[in-house]
Amino acid sequence: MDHHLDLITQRFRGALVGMLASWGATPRDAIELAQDTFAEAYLSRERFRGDWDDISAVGKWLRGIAKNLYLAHLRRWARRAETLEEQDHPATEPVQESEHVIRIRAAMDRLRGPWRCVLQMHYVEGSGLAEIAALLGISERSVEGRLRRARQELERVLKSDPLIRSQSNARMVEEQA
Amino acid sequence: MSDDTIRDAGSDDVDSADLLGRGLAEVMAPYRPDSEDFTAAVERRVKDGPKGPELEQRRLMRFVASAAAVLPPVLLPQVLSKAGVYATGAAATKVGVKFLPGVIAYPAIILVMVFVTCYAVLRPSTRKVRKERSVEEYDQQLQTWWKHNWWVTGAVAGVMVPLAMFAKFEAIVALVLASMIALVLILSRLAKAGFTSRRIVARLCSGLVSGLLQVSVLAVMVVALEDDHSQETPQNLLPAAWLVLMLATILCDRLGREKAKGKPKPKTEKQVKEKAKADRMAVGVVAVFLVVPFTGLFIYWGWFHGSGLEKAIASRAQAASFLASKFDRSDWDDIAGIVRHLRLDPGPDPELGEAKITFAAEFERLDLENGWDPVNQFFVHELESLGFLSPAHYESYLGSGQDLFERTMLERAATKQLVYHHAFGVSVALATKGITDGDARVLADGFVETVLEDPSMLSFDDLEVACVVVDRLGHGEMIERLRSTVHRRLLEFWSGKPGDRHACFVEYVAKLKRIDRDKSLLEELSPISERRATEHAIALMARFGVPEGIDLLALHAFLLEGARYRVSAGASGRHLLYAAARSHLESWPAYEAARTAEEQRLLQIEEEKGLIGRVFEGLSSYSLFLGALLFSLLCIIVTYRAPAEPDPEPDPEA
Repeated sequence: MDHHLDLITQRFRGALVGMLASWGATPRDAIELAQDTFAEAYLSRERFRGDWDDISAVGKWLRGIAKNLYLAHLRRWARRAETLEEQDHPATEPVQESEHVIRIRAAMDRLRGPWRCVLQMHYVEGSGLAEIAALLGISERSVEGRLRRARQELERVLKSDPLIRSQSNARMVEEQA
Repeated sequence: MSDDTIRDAGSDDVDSADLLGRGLAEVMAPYRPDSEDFTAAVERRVKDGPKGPELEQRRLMRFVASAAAVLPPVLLPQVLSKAGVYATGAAATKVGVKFLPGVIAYPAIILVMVFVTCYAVLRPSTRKVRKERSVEEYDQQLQTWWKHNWWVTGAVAGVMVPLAMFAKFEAIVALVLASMIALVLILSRLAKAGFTSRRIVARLCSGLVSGLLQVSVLAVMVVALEDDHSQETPQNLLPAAWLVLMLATILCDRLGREKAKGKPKPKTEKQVKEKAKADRMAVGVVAVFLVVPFTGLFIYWGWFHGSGLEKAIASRAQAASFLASKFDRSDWDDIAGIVRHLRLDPGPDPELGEAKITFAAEFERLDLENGWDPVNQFFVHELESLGFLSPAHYESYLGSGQDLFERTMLERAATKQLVYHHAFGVSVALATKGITDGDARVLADGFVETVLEDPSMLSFDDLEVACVVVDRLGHGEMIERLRSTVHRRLLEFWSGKPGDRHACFVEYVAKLKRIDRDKSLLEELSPISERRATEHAIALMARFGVPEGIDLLALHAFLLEGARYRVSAGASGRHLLYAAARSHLESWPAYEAARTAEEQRLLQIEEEKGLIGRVFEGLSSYSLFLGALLFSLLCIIVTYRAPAEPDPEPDPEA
């Protein structure tokens, strides 16, 4: 595999999938679209005018490709929705999730879009501030601020929910023991 | 980066934060791809992705989509139009990139659309534009294009017209040429992408080449209509450029009509007739587009501007021989002017034999019994200056009761009211009764003072007559008093500005309306012809010197232009007057000095330009020819390399 492709895949994989997730892609679609994005970036590398070592330029380039692919993906789905019956849609496998995860997800849904976005980008694979900032086209300080406020807000929401709080305390006691 | 780095510093519950982080990671777990699987999937996509020709095709598609978004749909097959509509919607964020080629090519697109419209109007109604498109569809698309683009077309045309009128010739040609090259390159890419055929490319290229031909002809006519050509670079090989464009038009058309690969020859009678009709129509359209501009040019040069191929310049020798030979058309003013300047320059005195005979014949026909007024005293003065009047003529004048001298001249001298026609009274008096020294001084002073009193009422002719009569009265020293006044008047009516290559004197004088014998009123300002004013001004400058500010080289260029005549029509008195005045001007030391200084200046400019500058200037004088050649080659290559049309479906009617 090409050195540059390998490098950007390793660096941006998690953040890019998280970004696609924040746009509303399902896990499977987000991963596939991310794979398409990296492949398209490699195939269209002649059109890239920036420096491959410039992380912000690469992030902007990837974001543009991902956006076009995601819009095309949405158009394809819109056309399919017009022509296919509901029973023709592929069935999604039910995922067993703990109540704790469900409540965090519910709490995430209450966050503002930009805050939720950076959380999702970071927590897919623990991507760094630099990669997230490059993909979003903002500064690392902004990313850091958004993450901090997102976590604060998430904690506040979770603490205001008695069920989540009691569950969290129980877990803490269990772990300390 | 670890989770610690983004942990909320304000939180006092670290374990709670860890728990939240783990929960978030768990929430996003479904999105977490397997690293190796992910890399393998990317590699697989890269491996299966487009490459080689397909990749090239993808690049072309992007370009084609951009071009299709801005080119008029009528020029392209329907599939391309759809691609254009799609591209417009999908890539709205790349407006600049998308519209740039269209903006550059737009003037040429308009030109092409004009041709297409003309062609659509002229073509046989039964002919199909494309196999799969009906005439009605074609017409509808054409109308739709104009409906949506008429205002843009108008705006571009609105910009082009003043440009054509005021911009530099080279700039207009360069703009049109660049625009056309942009369009041809777009067409070339479309042809490579398989969106259009050689036939359509050939049609557009021949239209563009003939369009350039017409634009260049029009530009030449517009430039020729302007008076000041000083800013234009003269174009060499212009007819050769037009010939190249004509040949390229025909060649593109022929290339486009070569039979497509495997295309069967028309077999049925109907097919043969249709083909012959279409061929005749195409030849007719090309002929019209080629004939129209040259007809315009021929009319312009032949009718309005005189034939550029038949011009000659009248000379002093011609002017002199003209006076000695038989003539019947020129007026006496011109004759007098010619003689005046021939006498003023150092050449031999002109022989006036035939002029004198002609005058004698004319004089015989005058009805002198009713006085000299019908003869016109201005006319008489010119005759007198030619020396055509004899004592018998003066006696005749006295006998007709026109004795101006005795009745009024001394009184008018005292009140500074001696004007042009009183000069003839002096001549009559001198030729008949004679004038005393005292009266001569009073009269000479009267003429000079009349000029100084109100020179605005006097023309150059009046000023010159005043000088002549003062001289004749024996007081030439008084004329010097008029020098500054004459110089001021000369500068007042000098038309030249710094940098002008042609300039002359343009004079307006008061036209008086006589109320009674002694009273007149200013009715209006009346222009004197440039020729007359300039000729008298030169005579005045010969007497008083050239005032500072008069460009003798520009004046010489004006006289040179005026002396040009059509060989077929021959030189008239007007042309010969210019020739005589030019010859007179060339004899002046001041003119010689100005010419030498100008030559030095030009030599210095040439030296300052350097070799590169001189080469560039030389090339720019061939710019139209080179541009025509390159554009023609481009069109021919693009047409030749365009793919031939695929085999048509069998005609069900055949």
